Amino acid sequence: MAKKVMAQIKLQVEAGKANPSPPIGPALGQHGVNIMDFCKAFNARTSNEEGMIIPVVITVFQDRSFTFITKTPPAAVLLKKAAKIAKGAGDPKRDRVGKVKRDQLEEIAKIKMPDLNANDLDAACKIIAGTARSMGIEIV
Amino acid sequence: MKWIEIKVVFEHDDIDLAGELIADIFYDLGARGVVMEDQVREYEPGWVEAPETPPAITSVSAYFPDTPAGNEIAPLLSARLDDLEKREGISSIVGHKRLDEDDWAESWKAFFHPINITDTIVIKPTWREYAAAPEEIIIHIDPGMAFGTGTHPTTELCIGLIEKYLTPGQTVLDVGTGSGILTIVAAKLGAAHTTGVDNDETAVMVARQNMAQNRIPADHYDIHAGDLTARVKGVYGLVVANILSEVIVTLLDSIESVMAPRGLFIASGIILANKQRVLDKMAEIGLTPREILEKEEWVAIAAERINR
Repeated sequence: MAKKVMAQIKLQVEAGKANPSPPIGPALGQHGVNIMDFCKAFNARTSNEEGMIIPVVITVFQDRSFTFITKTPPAAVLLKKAAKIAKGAGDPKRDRVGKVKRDQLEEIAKIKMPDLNANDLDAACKIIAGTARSMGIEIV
Repeated sequence: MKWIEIKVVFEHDDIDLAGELIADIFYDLGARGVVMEDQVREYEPGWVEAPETPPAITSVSAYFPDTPAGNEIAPLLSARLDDLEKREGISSIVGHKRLDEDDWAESWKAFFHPINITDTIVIKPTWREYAAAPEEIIIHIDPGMAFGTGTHPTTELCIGLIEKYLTPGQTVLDVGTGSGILTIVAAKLGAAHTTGVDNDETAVMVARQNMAQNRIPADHYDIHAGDLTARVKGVYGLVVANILSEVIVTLLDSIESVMAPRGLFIASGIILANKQRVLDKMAEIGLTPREILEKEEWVAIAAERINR
């Protein structure tokens, strides 16, 4: 029997490290989801990616049960890791805050492929390159 | 503990990119995670599947402790958002809200009711009334911020196996006790003595309160903080662990030292994908599976120590 969807919650949290602190606690608590049950399930599913930021979409049903899907890490997070930078383009005086190589960009595009609206790797690379440019990361 | 919620509502043609760039600023400022919201919910209520075109993300929120350091975030954020508007044309408005941990820590309780876990075992939240039938065993639980409401499939599978395999008079060790729910079940089913360990001090406190709440005599149990079996003394006829697969595999390395000859180990919290990994490790140390239960994506295994 189809269950009624009550809410859809989108979060980005650290893999394997979900706990009742914000953002999880307030985001889920207001919809009546048992916070610890979500944390346990999320941590079990993401423990092999520990330390990585993982987007998760949680569907809450009317009986307060839930399901969730995890997605590939945000491009911005992957780009910063590849460029070995801790900060984004924060300083307006500096145009370029880091560099990634073409093959690193392709690597990221491959990881992101399942979540991108792209037909082939080339199109995926263009999307990732766009994010890189907006972050002040140069492709070399 | 009090928190500041900072919400950035934005407008841009490419909302995915804009959302990602704003989230990225939050991470730079020390956020551990973000919430992304869609202003217009495009899906119809009642849909089971997520809609094909996901609703537009139009705000990103993050939370910071309401401390002097946390209050310095706002000006830093404004500078970064101004920069983002200049460079990328992403316009945004910032809103602040203060909230208390209690605001959400308690809210889910409204939806937690007594449930029959097995034919005889009923889990009853301490804040609910329940008229028990004579043969029913009632477990009073206030999980607080510890894991173990009994409603989760892993706890349910584990309780089913404990009920089936526990022999009255046995000693029981519960590794990763959380709310203490499994030690209470074991005690009520006739275990002579139960020991619960957890590496989280909050869980230890919650578990002790729940043991008292269920009127388990103080000399019948021991709940202490510790890492797996590191501080456990003696050997047990029944060892239970409802944790995560990785932790169970680690626990199996030292389990021999706390298991009685012919003792039984009930492992739960294993996600289906990791079932074989746990079974392989069990085989390696000489544990023979007696029963394997599955529910949804979760697996519980009862395994016996045959050698020595």
